Amino acid sequence: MTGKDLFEIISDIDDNYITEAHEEDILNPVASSSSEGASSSSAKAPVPAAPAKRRKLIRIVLPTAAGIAALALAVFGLWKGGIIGGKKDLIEQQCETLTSFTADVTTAVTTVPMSTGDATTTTEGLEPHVSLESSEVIVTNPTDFHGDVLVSISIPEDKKIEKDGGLVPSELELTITNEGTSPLYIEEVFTLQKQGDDGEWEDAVVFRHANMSFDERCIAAGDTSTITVGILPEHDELWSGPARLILNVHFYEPDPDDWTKISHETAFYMKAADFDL
Amino acid sequence: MDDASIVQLFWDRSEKALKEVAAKYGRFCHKIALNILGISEDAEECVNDTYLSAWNSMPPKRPQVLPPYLGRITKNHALNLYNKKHAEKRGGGNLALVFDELDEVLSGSETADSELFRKELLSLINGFLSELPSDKRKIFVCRYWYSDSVKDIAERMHMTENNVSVSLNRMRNQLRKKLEEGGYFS
Repeated sequence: MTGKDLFEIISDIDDNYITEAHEEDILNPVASSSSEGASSSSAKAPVPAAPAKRRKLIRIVLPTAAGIAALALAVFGLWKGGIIGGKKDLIEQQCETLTSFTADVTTAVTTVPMSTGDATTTTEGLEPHVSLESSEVIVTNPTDFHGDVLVSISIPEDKKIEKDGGLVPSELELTITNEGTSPLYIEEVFTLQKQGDDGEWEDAVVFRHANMSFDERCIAAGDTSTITVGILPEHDELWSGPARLILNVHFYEPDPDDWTKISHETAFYMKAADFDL
Repeated sequence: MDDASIVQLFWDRSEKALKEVAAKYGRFCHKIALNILGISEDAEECVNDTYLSAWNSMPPKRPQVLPPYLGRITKNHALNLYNKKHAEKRGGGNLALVFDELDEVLSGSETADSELFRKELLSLINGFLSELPSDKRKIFVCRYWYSDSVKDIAERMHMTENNVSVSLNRMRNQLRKKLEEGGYFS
């Protein structure tokens, strides 16, 4: 077996990992973060010899790509600003938060051996003493204490969809409070876990919130922000009953000129929030 | 437009499906092909082939999430073209370096090459990835699934290129150790 064979085997890894690694490109198709990709737009590159039908389709498709994406962003902006769309009648469901995070993170931060110049240092080999099994505390390049994050989940009443004689949500609204001393940002991809027959939490649905720019996902220290998570089309996989939302939270040291720009990341948490679907 | 609606357009045999998929995932697919082939025109050919394959495969298929589905199709087309163009010599995008790095994982060992072995190995690699912290896993997948350059990964992850290289080296060693522990090397 060669490296090429191993590469081909890796091609079949779990879909979630593939999506996770390039989530920003997937969710923001117009603004690519890749320097190589940016050098040649698929909308402008010459179309090679292809069957007539393909050429016709691609000629129709490609010139309109940017326009469609821009229109989608504009509509989303109007919706988010409340200009279009109905007012939500929320049912507040306070989720369970990890109250032991504060002390645990402090412990982890103060005991991590620093490796000069290596931003990938983690708590490998340490016991962060997290209270819930499915949660993790992973600290990268710790510099100071970052505190906790509070998450509450609301289900807009008018966004529920009938399924199996009951109602399941098509949208979740997350209210996130940064109780730390540094700004944070939330990753775009979320995981919803379901409790198995043995009581263990298992990944059930991976979904993402509506396209939001990076700075809209940033929350300053002490601030509260609301993020709407559209869970269509995955609503077919939803269930009624207990659920656990896993979201990835990154604390960072901000750029002195713009707090929504990252100077360097200082901590990464996987945050668990329990609620009822 | 969400993925389910796009898939439905494919099922309805609406050409609008191609417009939507190109608008939403054209650049994503192009990047995957470009990383392997290194030539924009070749990458574009793969992306066009991807649209055609998607058109021919939906129906009967109805993928829940489109990016991995389309990404795999693009990657297969790109690898086929790469093999066709580089049957005798290496070259192209980042792929030659990626192959060399993965060769290191297996160096000095003899491994079986059966379908069963491949399935077991895939399961082990998925397990390995599940144990990695998210940021490390992203680096690994960017390099060994997307064939991203170290420079690209460094920009994406807000790290230095040196840190990315060090992380990749550590993860290759971890994977090799896991393979050894699993008895995959004879």
